[in-house]
Amino acid sequence: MLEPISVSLESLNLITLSPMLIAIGGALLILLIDLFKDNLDKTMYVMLTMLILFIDIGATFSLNINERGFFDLMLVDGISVVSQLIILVTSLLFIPLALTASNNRFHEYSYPEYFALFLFMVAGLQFMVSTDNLILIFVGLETASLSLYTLIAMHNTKGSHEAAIKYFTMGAMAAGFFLMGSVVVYATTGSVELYEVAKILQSQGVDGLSSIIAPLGGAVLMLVAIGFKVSLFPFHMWTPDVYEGSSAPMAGYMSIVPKIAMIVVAMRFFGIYINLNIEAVSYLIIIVSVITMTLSNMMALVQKDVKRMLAYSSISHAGFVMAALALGTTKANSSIFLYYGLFMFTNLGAFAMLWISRHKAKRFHGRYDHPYEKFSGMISAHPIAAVIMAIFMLSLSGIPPFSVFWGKLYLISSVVDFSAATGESKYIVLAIIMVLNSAVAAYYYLKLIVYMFLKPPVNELNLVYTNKSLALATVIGFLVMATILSIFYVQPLMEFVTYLVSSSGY
Amino acid sequence: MIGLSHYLVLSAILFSIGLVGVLRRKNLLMLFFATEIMLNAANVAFAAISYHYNDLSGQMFAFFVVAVAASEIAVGLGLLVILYKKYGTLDLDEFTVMRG
Amino acid sequence: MENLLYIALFSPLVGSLFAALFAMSPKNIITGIVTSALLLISFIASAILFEHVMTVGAVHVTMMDWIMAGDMLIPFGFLVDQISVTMMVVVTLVSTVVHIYSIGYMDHDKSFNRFFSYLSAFVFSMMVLVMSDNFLGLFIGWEGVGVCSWLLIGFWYHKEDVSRDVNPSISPSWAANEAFIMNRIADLGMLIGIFILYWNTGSLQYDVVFAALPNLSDGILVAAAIALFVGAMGKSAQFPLHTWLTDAMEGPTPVSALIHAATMVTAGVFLIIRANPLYAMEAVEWVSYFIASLGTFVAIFAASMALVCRDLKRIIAFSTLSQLGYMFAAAGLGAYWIALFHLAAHAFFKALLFLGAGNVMHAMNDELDIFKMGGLKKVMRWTYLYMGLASLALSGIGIAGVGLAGYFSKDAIIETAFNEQNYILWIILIVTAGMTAFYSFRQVFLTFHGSKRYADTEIHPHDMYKYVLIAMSPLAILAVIAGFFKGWFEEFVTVLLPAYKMSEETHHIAWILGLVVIAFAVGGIVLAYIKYNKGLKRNEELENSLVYRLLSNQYYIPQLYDKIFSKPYAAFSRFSWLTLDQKIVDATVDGIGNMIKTGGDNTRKIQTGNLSDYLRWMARGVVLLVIVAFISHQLSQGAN
Repeated sequence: MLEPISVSLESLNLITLSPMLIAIGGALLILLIDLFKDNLDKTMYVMLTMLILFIDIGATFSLNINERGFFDLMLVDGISVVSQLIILVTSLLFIPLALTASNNRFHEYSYPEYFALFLFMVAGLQFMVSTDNLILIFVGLETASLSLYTLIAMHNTKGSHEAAIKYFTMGAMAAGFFLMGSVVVYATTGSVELYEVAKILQSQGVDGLSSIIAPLGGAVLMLVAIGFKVSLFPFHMWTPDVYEGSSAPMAGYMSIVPKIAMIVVAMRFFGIYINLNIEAVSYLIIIVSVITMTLSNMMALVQKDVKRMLAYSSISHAGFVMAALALGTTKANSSIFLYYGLFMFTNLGAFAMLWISRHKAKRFHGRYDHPYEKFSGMISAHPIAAVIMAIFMLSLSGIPPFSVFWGKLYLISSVVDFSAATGESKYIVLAIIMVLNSAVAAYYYLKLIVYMFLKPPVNELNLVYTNKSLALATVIGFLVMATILSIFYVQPLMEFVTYLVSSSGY
Repeated sequence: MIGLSHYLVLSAILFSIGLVGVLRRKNLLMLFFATEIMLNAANVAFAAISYHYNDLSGQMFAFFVVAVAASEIAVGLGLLVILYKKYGTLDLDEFTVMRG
Repeated sequence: MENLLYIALFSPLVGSLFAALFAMSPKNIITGIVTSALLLISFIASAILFEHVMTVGAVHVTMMDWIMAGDMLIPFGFLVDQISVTMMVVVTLVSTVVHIYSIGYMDHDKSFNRFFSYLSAFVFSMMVLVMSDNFLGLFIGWEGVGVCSWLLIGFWYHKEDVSRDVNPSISPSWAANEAFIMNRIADLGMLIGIFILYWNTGSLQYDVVFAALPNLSDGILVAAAIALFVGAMGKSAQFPLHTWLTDAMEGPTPVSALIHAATMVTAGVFLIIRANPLYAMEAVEWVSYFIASLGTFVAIFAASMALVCRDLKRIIAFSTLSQLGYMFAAAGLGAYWIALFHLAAHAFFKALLFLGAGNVMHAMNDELDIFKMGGLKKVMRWTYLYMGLASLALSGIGIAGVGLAGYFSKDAIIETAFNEQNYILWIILIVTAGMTAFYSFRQVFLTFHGSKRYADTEIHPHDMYKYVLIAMSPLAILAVIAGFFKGWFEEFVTVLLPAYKMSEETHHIAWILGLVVIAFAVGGIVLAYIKYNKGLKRNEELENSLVYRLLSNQYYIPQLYDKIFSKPYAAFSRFSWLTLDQKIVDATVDGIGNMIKTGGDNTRKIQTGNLSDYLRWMARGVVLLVIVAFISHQLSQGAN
């Protein structure tokens, strides 16, 4: 006879679910409102979404670190909290970008579903980072991805449909690889809980080719799925096209949020291998990262469109970060979150600057929205905007004292520290490659500055800030201040991140 | 006697068929079929391993995969419909505006 | 007292920033008034601090911990003691006068506001230099005054370069760069000195460093003393780094008065006085002696060039050089308080002399050649009076304990040389005193007496504005009476500085020594009177003589520097640019750039835009990962 199932509410520890529940509840609320009342202004939905995100941030802050809940599916640890905070803050900065000057220019925002889907995506990403169960990771990943495909397609241009379909198909294939990776892990260890997997692998031992081949195969398959989402070569192919096709804020958002979520998963998954001293996996990740950052930098160099250039640059930044992930030290992991936190301000700002100049008619180029020529001579027409854009570009190229510089500094110093700690000189080579790549990257960022400051305008068509509104200006102003003043908060921020990351043993 | 390894080989074959389908097919609809085959290949393996270890999580995983696959195909078909309306074709070679 | 200290220090900065706000806008008299008023406040604060130091004692504040890196802790503090407060009073007083003077002098200049911003910034830097309680703060101020000096010499940067052969002057920007570069060379020496001290004492605070000196080895002490003196040589324009000072006269005259006569150039002397515990060490005795000898040499060397110089401002500049030589002679002989006293007295009458020269220039439409002047005493009564007084003070006129400022301070230096039984130095200094009197009055007579040699030009000279003349009066008064405070000043500063007393013997014959000096001085004046009072009679034969040409070409030293340093350096730079940089470095860099670009173009081709290709690349990626994973595994196995 079956035992009656009894579960006490305390053991569920539902508080661990609260951030996601808030997002999902908010999404349902938006759908309900739409059901009962048509044609509400988008401003209302924007405000509502922001409110929900605010509450979500509050809930995330109130979480206790290192707790499990909901049949031990949920795992709230330091990296979960810090990544959720990055996700939510970025979302909070992304959503007001919907408030462009003219109300009906970009009609994706006039659908309440857009905001509901957005919140579902946020919830999916939050699930993804706060669990170490492969099932829940998969479900969170797919929830977020499916919402994201739709959000991209809702931009409703020819390019956005093409982008969505490319992203979707490759995403489906990547999902297949994620599942096969899980199958291999499950087959070798008999568990889909990563902490169990770690224990079992530990006890099985990983010496010799026969015992390592299965875990290594699992790592390769997983790296395909992770590399797709984080955009590592050669799984990055979707990135430039999707960024080009989707709206600029969405592209900026995609360059941060889904990546940071997947990086947390990678940290959890590859952390097992690194803790077991399976160096092959570290080498694998580092080699792929180095190829990624080098090739994407080279491709960014020859781009003619600023948005596409930023897409390639974000690929190279991802390669940068993944290289540090392979080290597995606390400093490296903390630097990754710091890097993305700081990179977020700058990159979102750069994309927002493209966004306010976006015009439905492609007036400067047959295909591109933001060719370099569009910005030539910008300093004379829009001096403030040119200076702001220049600050973002300088920051992206890692020039002190702007925000990304500190990210790079900590990241590279974590590599150097690791080299010193292990006494392996090859990690110094890695650090040198990273520095060289930064130097190459500076070229294409500065190219835009050269266009803005030194070239005369190519034609009479003036760059018009059609979409400029108070909301956009506020967000950009905030991002610029955060970029410039990073020197004042980077130290406490790093301490906070390090505290969170180290408290859960990463 | 059919054992775990047979199921795993079947799963691998299915996955390869799906993969080849994804790589070779030019019609978007066929591509979707192929990705579904890849997902279901994983399902077969999950179910078999779950039975082998006498552990339910594999079967649970399979159920979730089925659910996700269903919603994925819903989104995919939605995209496919708009795309067909815009381009009048489902041939992958036509969607090459963005490149380089 | 702490607040007063900050007021004295920061009010020039406030003034500078205020004037900088208007830097781009047209002339606004407000900037001049505000900066002058703030300097007056600074002066008053300094004067009160002076009184405080005299009655109570030194003030020492630590503003903040400035550099904390590892074991290195450098608190940023200020020290107002007898030495620095003297400098503060002198600097702020002269600055205030010069600021007010500049309102009149720069009247027609379109960069009026910018000028005041620079000038106040200079005063701030100078205050940091003198008030700092550590070598690093001193160095910051040291560099700050260097930058301001560069800005101010090159203030009329738009003037074209003129060849040396046409005119002894070149161009403001050239002179500014020369001054800056020469000072940089010397600063390197100073920096090395500071490093040596830090290395061996672990601190940069004056008190800590000086307390640790007796524990150091002789070699280190000598090295530090020499290195610091090299820095002092640059700033105070001692031979062989002296050429910049005369060229610096390209700057506006108030700048010459403030920076290149009264304050900045004396920083070198200040440094030696500040570091007197180091230079008084037995081990560095010969360095001190070298300083005294070099000072004496510069005194006569510069005076000799002044004898034949025709340029109004350059004569005064040579005289400044010469007087700096006197100061170094005193400091090198151990009479630090006398050096400081001469520094202060010299600041007053030399600034007055320069400002007078400025009046003349203003009247003569920027004419500088004294051969083209003459007879100005009727139209410029006040200026004549001021410059006459200042020249008398400079010549050291006075007798039996009554005289002008220079009489007391310079005589004391000459007496010191005698007292040290260094008769060679003593004789040279006495001869120099005679030369000083001669060239000073040659200048006065040629400018103010005799016939109006400018009569055939369009110039109608007139005296300066009233308020400018009034503003100059404090300097004139001080040039007359400063000497009477000698005894009192000695008492004040010898609390801190070693008391230098003349021996009994010297004391007995002091009046004879004084008479000798006076005889030389008066002799010089009389000679100048005979030769130039009636007017200018040019003597072709004399002017073509070797000695005359040698002197008027400044011993050909500028030309020599040009030949052995500037020209070869320029040739080397050209070579580096054309061959090394363009042919080798640039080609390599371009090559790398092109390679990366070609790589980018090629890699870009894989991004075909076709989804099938992307998916295939993903599949290839899986294969790639498997291969890389295998290689990585082999690698890691190999490593173990």
